[in-house]
Amino acid sequence: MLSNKVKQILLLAIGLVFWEAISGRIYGGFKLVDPLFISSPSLILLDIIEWAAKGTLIVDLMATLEEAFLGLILGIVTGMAIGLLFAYSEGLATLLEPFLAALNTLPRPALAPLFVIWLGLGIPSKVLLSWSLVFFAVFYNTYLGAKNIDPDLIDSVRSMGATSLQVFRIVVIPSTLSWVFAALRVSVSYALIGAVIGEFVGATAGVGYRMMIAEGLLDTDRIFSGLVVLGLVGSSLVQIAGMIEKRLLRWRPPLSLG
Amino acid sequence: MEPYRVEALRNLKVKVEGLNVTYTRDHVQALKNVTFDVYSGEFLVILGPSGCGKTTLLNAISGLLKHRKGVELSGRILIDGINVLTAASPLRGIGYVTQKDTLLPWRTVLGNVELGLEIQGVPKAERRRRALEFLRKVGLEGFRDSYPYELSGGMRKRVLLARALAYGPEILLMDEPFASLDAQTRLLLHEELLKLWRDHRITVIFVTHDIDEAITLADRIILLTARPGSIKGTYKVHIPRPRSVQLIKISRSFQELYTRIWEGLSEEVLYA
Repeated sequence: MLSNKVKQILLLAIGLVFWEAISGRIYGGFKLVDPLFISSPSLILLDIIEWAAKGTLIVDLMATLEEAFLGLILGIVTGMAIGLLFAYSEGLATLLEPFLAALNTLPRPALAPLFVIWLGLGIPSKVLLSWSLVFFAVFYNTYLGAKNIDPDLIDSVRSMGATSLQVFRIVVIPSTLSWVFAALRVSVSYALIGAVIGEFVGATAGVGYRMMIAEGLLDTDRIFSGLVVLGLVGSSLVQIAGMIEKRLLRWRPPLSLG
Repeated sequence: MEPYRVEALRNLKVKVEGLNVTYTRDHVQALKNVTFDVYSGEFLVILGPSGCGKTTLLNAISGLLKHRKGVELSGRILIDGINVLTAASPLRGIGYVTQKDTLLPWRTVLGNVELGLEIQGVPKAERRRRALEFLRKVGLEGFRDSYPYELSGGMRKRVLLARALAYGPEILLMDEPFASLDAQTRLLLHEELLKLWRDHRITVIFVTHDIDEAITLADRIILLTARPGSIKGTYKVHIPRPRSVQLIKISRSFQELYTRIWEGLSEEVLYA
C-alpha cells in the first residue's frame, strides 16, 4: 500500500506531465492547447528561474510580503482594540454596528482605486487594502470573543479580590486572544489577497504588479509564474499561521478536524 | 432549642443580619430576613431545597451580588465587623468554590492555583511555591503542567479547592461544589475537604441540598425554607471528629438527625 503522501506526489506528477503534454512540449503531435493560453510546467519553471536571476523576483516578493505583513499586524491590532471597545461599550456598538456591517459588505477590491489615489502607487495603499480585509475578520472575532466570556469566570476572579483592570488582564484579554488566534489563518490569507489586489490596480513593485504587466504583454508564462509563487508563499504562510495557532491554543481539547 | 453557650465564647467571623435580596427584573424575592452568625473556624452548612436562594446567599456574602444590576439588597453582612454590602474595596479574605467549573482553560493547573496569589501581587517564586504546596495537598502535584481539559471532574474540583485555599483566605464559601461528581469521588473529596479544613483552621460556609453531605461535614446546619429563602431551623451536629465519611452514615446519631432534618426539609421541597 502506498501512503497518502506518495499518492499525492504521484497525482501531482501525473497532472504536470499531462499539462506538459497537451501544451505540445513533449511531442508536438499531442498538442491540444496553445501554450499562449496554458503555458506549461517547464516554461513556468524556466520563467521563474529567469525572473529570479534578474533579481526582480526577490524584490517583488519582498514588496508583496511587506504589504501583507503590515496589513496583517495593523489589522490585528486595530481590530482587537475596536472590538474590545465595542464589547465594553454597548451604546457605541449599537450606534456604529450598521455602518461597520455596511462597510464590511463592500467588495474590498472596489476600494483599491480610491486607496491608490489617496496614498499613491507605493506600499501604503496596499497596506491599507490588506488592513481593510484583516481588520473586519479580527474585529468581529474580538467582539464575539469578548461578548462570549463566561461571566462565571469573571465572577470567580473577582471573588478572589481582582480589580477591574486585573479582570481585564487575567480573563478578558486571554479569552479574546484565543478567538483572534483562531482567525489567524484566515487573516493571513486575507492579508495576502489585499496586497495582491492592491498591486493589480497600481504599483511599482510586487508579484501582483508583475502579473499585471505580463497580462499587457500576453506573457502567460509570467502570469503562471506569479500564481505559482503566490501559491507557494501563501500556503507556507498559512501553514506557519496554523502552527502558531496550534501552539498558542494548545490548552484547547484537540478537535478531530484539525 | 438549647443556646450555643460554647460558640458565644468563640470569635464571631460572619454576621448576616436581616438580609433581603430581590431580583428586580423578574420581581423575585430570593431571600427574606435571613439572620445568622458564623464563628471562626466553624463548618457551617446551609441546607435547602433547590431554588431557595442558597447560591444567592453565598454570592451576597462573597460581595459579588452588590456589583450586579437588577438586584436589591438590604440588611447587613459583617465579615470581621466590616459590612460587605457597603465596603468599597474588593474583598480579599474569601475563597469561593462555585458549582460551575471556573478554572481558566488557558492556564495550566499550576497557573490556576497561582491565580489568587497573583491577584494579591505575591512575587512569582513565592506564588509558585505556595501553589505547589496546595497542589501537593490535593494530590495533584504531578499534573501541575496539565491543562484543565485534560483532567477528570474530580481532579478539577481538587484544583478548584487548591486554588480557593492557596492564597490563604480565612473564609471558604462552597456552593454545592461536589454535586456533579459520582458518589465515590464525592466521598473522597469530603474526606479531603475535612482534612484541609482541620489543617487550616478556616471558616467554611457550605451550601447543599443533600442531607447526607450536610451531616457528614457540618458543625451546624441551617435549614432554609423554599423561596423566598428564610431560616427554618438550626441543627447542631454532635457527631465527634475526626469523622469517617463512610462509617458516619451507619451511626445512630446520624440517622436520628437525618430523620429530624428530613421532616423539616420535605415540607419545603413540596413548596419548591
